[in-house]
Parts: sequence; C-alpha cells; structure tokens
Amino acid sequence: MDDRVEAYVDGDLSADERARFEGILDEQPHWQAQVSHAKRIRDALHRMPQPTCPPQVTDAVMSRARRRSNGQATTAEHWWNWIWRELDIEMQTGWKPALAFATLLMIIVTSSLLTDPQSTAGLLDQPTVSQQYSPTEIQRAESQAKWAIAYIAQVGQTTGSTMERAIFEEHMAAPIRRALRPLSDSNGPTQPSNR
Amino acid sequence: MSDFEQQVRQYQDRVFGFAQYFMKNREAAQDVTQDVLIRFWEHHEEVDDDRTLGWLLRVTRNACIDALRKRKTRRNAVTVNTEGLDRAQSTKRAPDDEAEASDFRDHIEEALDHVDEPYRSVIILREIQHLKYREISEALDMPMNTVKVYVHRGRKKLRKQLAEVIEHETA
Repeated sequence: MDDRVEAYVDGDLSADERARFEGILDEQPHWQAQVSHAKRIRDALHRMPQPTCPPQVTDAVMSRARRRSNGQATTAEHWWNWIWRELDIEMQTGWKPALAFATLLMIIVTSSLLTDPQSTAGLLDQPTVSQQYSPTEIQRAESQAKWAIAYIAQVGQTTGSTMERAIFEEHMAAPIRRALRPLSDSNGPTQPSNR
Repeated sequence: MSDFEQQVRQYQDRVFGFAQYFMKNREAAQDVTQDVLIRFWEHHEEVDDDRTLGWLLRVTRNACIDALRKRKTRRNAVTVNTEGLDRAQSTKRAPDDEAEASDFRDHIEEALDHVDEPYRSVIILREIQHLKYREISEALDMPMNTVKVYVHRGRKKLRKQLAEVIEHETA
C-alpha cells in the first residue's frame, strides 16, 4: 500500500488498482493522511522557486571562453615567433643570406601549396629558373637552403612537442624538400658539409 | 562564440538551479555552474543540439557529487560543521503571509538533502525543474520507466522524512 501512495497521487494506477486503493482509503484514515501528506509534498515541490543563474557566472564563463579561444589562436603564433626569435639570436652572420633564401623559398612554396597544391611540384623547374641562374648559383642556393632547413628543423625539434615537429615537417620541410627535388635531380645531390 | 553564448543563456538556469538544490549552497552552485559551462565550451561542438540539456545535467550532477565529496572531506579534516552557515546563506526569509509555505520549503530542502542518489537528482529534475521523463532519462542514463519509479520512491522517502514535521503542523 505504501508503495502505491505516490502513484495514486500522480494518477498512475490502473483502474483496478485505483479502485482497490480507494476501497482501503475509505476504511483506513492512516492512508488518507498519507495521501494528504504526499499531495502536500508534491505540490510544495512543484512550487519551489526556480533559481536564476547570477549574471557574474555568465560573464565569467563567456570571458574565460573568449580567453581560451584567443589562446588557441595565439599558440601557433607563439611557436613561430619563438622560432624566429631563436633564429635571430643564434644565427651566425654568414648564414643569414641562406636563411633569407630559405625563408623566401618557404613563403613561395607554402603559399603556392595553399593556393594550388598541384602547381607546386613544377614551380622551381620552370624554364625561367634555369634561365635566370647558372647551375653553380642554383647548386649554392640549394646547399644554403638545405642548411637553413636543417637548422630550422633543429630549432623545431627543440621546441618540444611531436605535434609541432609534425606540423613543421608537413607544412615547411617536406614542401621545400619536394620543391628542391627537381633541382637536385638536374644538378646531382649536394650534401651540406659538417659545421 | 555566439551559438555557444546562446546555448549558455538557454541552459544556465537549469544547470545553476540543479546545482543549488543538489548542493544547498549558492556559492558552491555558482562554482559548479561555471566549471560545467566551461567544460561545455570545450565540448559543445561534439554535443548534438537536442542532447545538450541531457549532457549538461549529467556533467552538472557528476560535478556536484564530486564537489560535495570534496567538501565533506574538508569538513571532516577541520571538524567544523558549516551546514548552518550554508543554510543561512541559501535561505531567504519571506514576508509573514508566506512564512508558513517558506518554512515548509525549508523543511523540504532539508529533507531532500537526506535523500540518497539517484532519487535526489530525479526529484530535483522532475518535481522541481519540471523536466520531461525523456530528458531525465538521457541526463541520468536510465530507462524512462525507471525514472518514473524513482520519482515515486524519492517522494516516498521525502514523505517519511517529513512525517514528523507534517504531523506536528497538523496537530
């Protein structure tokens, strides 16, 4: 009987159960009181106030969300700034032209990758390149660029995460290597000498 | 960001209301609400729109349980019972004409605090926050029929807790 009081109050009993329950109610004041208590509790629960979230909580959430959103955007910036800062401090004067060349090359290759990946493979073996530069100049530029790439790769590795190295490998080193391959094929392999 | 903000404004009262009734402490409920909504920020793109409320309430309930556990541990460590302080902060006295109803609400809140899980959550969600059985079923990851049974069992527990109070009032 006790288990059916709330179901009776909510009207969840079947017709038979309800008739049986009401038969007992008529005879036993104890159950009448229990039904009365159950109704009072249910009604009071239904009238409980609905708290409103204080505005400072909303403000704090939105503010933190915005900060985190901006933080995610600046992580990449931070990494690249760090690399360039490190390069600027540690780069020996003699290597700066190589770095400049490599940077130029990276910008060309990366931007062409972003705009039209299909055109990248043939970018550097267009007739204009071989017409404008002698094989010796191209060989020297290639050597300098490889040194710059090796240096930047080393800096990338010291920045820590595998993810960052992977990004570097995928978006910077590999495209440059691919772009240099036609030059290497035409001029023969050029290995940078040990420092 | 604007979609997220819209969802925050849509559901923040539900989250905060649940946390406040569950924890019986306004400041703790604010902390939980903030944490839950920040967690929602991290996951909102993975959560389907029609399941957002269920997701939020499930995370809120877990956060409340964790917070209460930590609070209990801290209280035991310093052997100071701050329950009275909590109630003083969370209870606002109403004018005289509503005093009786307000007193009974206080008794209900007190009794609810002694109702074990998952009955307490079910009572808050169904009877106080008026959620649909389907929504509660999603939030608590239990079948709808079980939710219905738990609503009745939870209210029965409250009836037992409040028997003395009600009989005293009617005497």
